[in-house]
Amino acid sequence: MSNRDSSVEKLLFAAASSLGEAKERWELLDYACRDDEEMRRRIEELLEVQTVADTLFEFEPEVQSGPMEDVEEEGMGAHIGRYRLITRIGAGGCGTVYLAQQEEPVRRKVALKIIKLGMDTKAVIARFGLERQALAQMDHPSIARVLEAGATASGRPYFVMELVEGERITDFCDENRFSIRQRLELFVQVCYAIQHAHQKGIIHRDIKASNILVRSSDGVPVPKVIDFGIAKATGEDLSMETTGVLNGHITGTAGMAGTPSYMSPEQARGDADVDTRCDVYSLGVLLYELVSGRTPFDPKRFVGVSIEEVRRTIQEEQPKPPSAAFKSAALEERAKIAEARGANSTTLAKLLAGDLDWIVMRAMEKEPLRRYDTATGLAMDVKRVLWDQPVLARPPGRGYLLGKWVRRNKLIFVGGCIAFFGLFAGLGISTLMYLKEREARLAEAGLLQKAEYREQIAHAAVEIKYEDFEGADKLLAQVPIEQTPSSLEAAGAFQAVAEWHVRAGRLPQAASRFTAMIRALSSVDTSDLPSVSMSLLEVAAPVAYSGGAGPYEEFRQLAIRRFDMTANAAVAEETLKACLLMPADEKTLKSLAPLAAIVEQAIEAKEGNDFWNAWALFAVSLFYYRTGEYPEAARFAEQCLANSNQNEVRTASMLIVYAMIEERLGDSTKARAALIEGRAGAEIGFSRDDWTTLNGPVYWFDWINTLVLLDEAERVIDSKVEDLSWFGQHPS
Amino acid sequence: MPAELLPLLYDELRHIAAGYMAREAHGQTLQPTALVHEAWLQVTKTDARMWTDRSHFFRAAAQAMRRILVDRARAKASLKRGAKAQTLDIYEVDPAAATMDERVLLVNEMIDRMEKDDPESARVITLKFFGGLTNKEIAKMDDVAERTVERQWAYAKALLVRMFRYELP
Repeated sequence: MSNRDSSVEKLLFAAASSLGEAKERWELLDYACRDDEEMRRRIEELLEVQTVADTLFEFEPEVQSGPMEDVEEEGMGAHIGRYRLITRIGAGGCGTVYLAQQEEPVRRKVALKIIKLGMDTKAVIARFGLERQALAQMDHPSIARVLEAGATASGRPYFVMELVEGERITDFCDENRFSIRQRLELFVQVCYAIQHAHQKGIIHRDIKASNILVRSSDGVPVPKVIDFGIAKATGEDLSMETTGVLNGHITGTAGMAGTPSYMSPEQARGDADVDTRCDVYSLGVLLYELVSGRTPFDPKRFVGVSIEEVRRTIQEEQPKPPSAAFKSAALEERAKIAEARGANSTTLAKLLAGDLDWIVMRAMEKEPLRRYDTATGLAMDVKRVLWDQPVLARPPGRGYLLGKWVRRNKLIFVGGCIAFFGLFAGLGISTLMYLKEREARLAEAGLLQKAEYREQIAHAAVEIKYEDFEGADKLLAQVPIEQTPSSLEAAGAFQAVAEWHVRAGRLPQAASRFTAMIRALSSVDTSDLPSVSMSLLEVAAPVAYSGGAGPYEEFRQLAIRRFDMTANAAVAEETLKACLLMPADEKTLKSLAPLAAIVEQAIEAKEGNDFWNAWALFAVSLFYYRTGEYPEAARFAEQCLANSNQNEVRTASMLIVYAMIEERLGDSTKARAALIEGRAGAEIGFSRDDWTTLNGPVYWFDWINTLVLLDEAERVIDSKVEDLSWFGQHPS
Repeated sequence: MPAELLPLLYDELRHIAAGYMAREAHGQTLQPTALVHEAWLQVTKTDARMWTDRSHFFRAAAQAMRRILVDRARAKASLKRGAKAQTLDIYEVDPAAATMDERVLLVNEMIDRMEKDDPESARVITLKFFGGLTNKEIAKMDDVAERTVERQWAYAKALLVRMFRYELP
């Protein structure tokens, strides 16, 4: 059978099988195969075996019909597997929960949750089966065990769980008029339970108030997290497209797994590979509700709106901090919420504002990278509130350059990532079972190695907090630059140590730490802001000065990749300066050309003030010098030098570049004069003993840039001198 | 392939195994974890760097799954028939009432025969039956409409049974 025949045959088969009536089929084949009996016979055979073929490939085993067609119709006393239903104890979005009696091998009462119809039962059970091993490893007093999964006779998946008595955590706290302190203590216990699961490689995916039950044991509240493993097993079957009308919660059988109010942005987006930080987000929401009595998004807002709207809200809208949410409640409601917390409205508002607001919002960051890394990290910060320790101790180091955000994050992440290594070790064990091949061992070693680096950085951050820069530096030195994890805490730690090196005048070491910092940042902060690109200059200077051409080139390409799409003239100007400290190849210059154009336009449009304009003229002049367009370069340099805004370091740098330009243009006299003047300026600058701590409008790195350029200029101009002496024409 | 990608691929494999296990009747003979484990060993035995993308991996994984299931089914068949017995003659099997193991062997044999004349059909059966992929996943992988995969699948299934019925081995 040739391929051509086969494709005709396929078309005819598709056409014929789409016709319902046998008569129509025959007519089609009569016509289409009028000259080809052989083909007709083959297609008839295909049509004939279709039913058998469907049976052969029918995967779903037949559902055995039995007396247990529908539990709810059959009522209580019915048996499911080895369980006898006793009574219905609850109904939620995705199913009904029954109290049931297990008969063998042990007699005990269990909770049996029957999931609503509408999902692929076999797939649900299979997914549960895959996690079963890991679920069985969880052993924590605050985690309810999930014992078994199965299918009812009518084909609905069910889960059997340890029976937990208790009340929803929010109700329990309100009824017992738990103070904020008591609530926080209870919350910390929940975090530890979740952390335990994370260490076993289990993500809950559906943490919410109704999944955390609390009972009092001898006056001590004991929380218990239920439904572990269920969201994972049922969730993947749910596609947003098939969801019906929303009704406070996402309606049961299909739709986003979870309750919209508690759902992390990545879950709302439908990401298949959410990690433990989606639980950290939901814990943040839980804390929000526990302390403020409100949820970040008003559940009423999710009623009767489209899935897209729910998604958009969760992903884009920034909820108010808990204290603001509390304050925006009606007067009467506020009084009620405060009373349930043993406080009055005013004191409660004060209690919430500040640290608690901050912790909640950090846990609920839209971007997982910016949340606490772990549930323990969140718990530790809550504990700092309980112990009246400052959550936000001011970090050492000067408050410029990267802006406040790095510092804020740096400290809070210190706690967050201490537990990280433990988490990785836990995950390692559950996956190790399968990873026995050589590649697998390598993969595992890679992960552990990464975890180790993260841990070292976490330790370094702690040392920095206690101002032990030397200790921190030793730890950071062990992390290979190319392995620098990208996170804010890493960036913060490297930055602090690099600045410490600068203060002590050790530029090579500073260069290395700064390079690591840029690596850590390059994929974390994607904002197009001059405060971020300014960090480039800080790095460029020591790298160019002491790192040599290789590292500088690497840095430069990193910087270009990160900022070449910018439309912000200030960012473009910083990037140009940072990337042009050394001669560049054609490709590099080509990718910087759009940035130069942006800066030029901004100069013409007089967008910036005189100070900025003068720097912009410098940057553009340097750009044209690098591209070899010397007359243009000279024109901009002259404008820069004539600018009314002058500062010593820019003038010195500009003179030095101008000297090189004039040299290339053939005017040695002008070149020499400019070089001498520029060098004198640089020498004055470096004779100041405070230059390493200069903090605007002249910065320490500006001086280093001057030095880098001076070095180049002296080579350019001196080599000319040597050339001349070669011919015995050395000028007197 | 970078070492850190392996765990991700491992997850893919779990997904495929879940797809396969979902269709197995209750008294299944393979634990899903065992299936994944074996498939994982098979897939990683080959040079890991040869997978350039997900679709490569899916194909490799489906083939691995196929080998394992066929080996198991053969082993079980020979156990039932005694050590001396020949392997199961799949032509004795009634496709409409085959057990899972018989189906595995029958489909395996037919795919081999189909490979030469109609590799497209052989591939779609491998991915669907052994790989456990859905029409949607295959459509995405091949960048064609889901309807196209549906048609290929309907044809491939019928072709397989026709070969079994009407064409002598």
